Amino acid sequence: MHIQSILLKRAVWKGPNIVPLPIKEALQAKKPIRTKARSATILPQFVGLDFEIHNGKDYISVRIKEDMVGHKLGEFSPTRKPFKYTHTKNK
Amino acid sequence: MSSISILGFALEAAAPIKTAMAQSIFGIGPKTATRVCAQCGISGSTRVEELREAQILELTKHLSKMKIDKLLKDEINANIERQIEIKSYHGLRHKQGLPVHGQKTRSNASTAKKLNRFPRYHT
Repeated sequence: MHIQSILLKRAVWKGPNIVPLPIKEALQAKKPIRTKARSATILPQFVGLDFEIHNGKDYISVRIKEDMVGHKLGEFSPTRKPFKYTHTKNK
Repeated sequence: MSSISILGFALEAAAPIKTAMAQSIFGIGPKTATRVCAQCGISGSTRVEELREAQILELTKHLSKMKIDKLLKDEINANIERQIEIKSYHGLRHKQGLPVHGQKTRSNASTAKKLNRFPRYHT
């Protein structure tokens, strides 16, 4: 990714958006982390962990890969249902 | 309309080197072309056919180091592919051929439908 496109997203002095998440417990218990913090930045420590990210309705399970570092958690749980055409039954 | 080939790019012979580069090389626009000309020590308004041998050599040397055409297209493709692979929202929208940055799709969105697909460039 371009360095510039990262820099333009957020003021540098703020650093990444770090949200306190139970990473240690998740590593020990090997359970997915259930969270609503969609705006949390994915840190290198998250790699390999399972997350259940809220999308406004239910929790979508995502395994964090190395490429995802730097993105936000919310990017991986879409909030809109894809449109599907269905025939109406009651006519 | 005759053309002169520099580094495999067909540059229009009668055009100023600055415009010719901007027109026929992917990844070089008017601004980059001006910069390249300045760095090579060539006046941007020199016609392509009037370039001396040494100047052409200098240009080729400079252009071969730059990320243009195939290299640039490959990089763009790779960036999109990475987004699709990790299944981010960005990638999903590219896959569907819809706008990525939250534009409306009720009407228009024709540019996105034209461009947002994978691979974006065939090299």
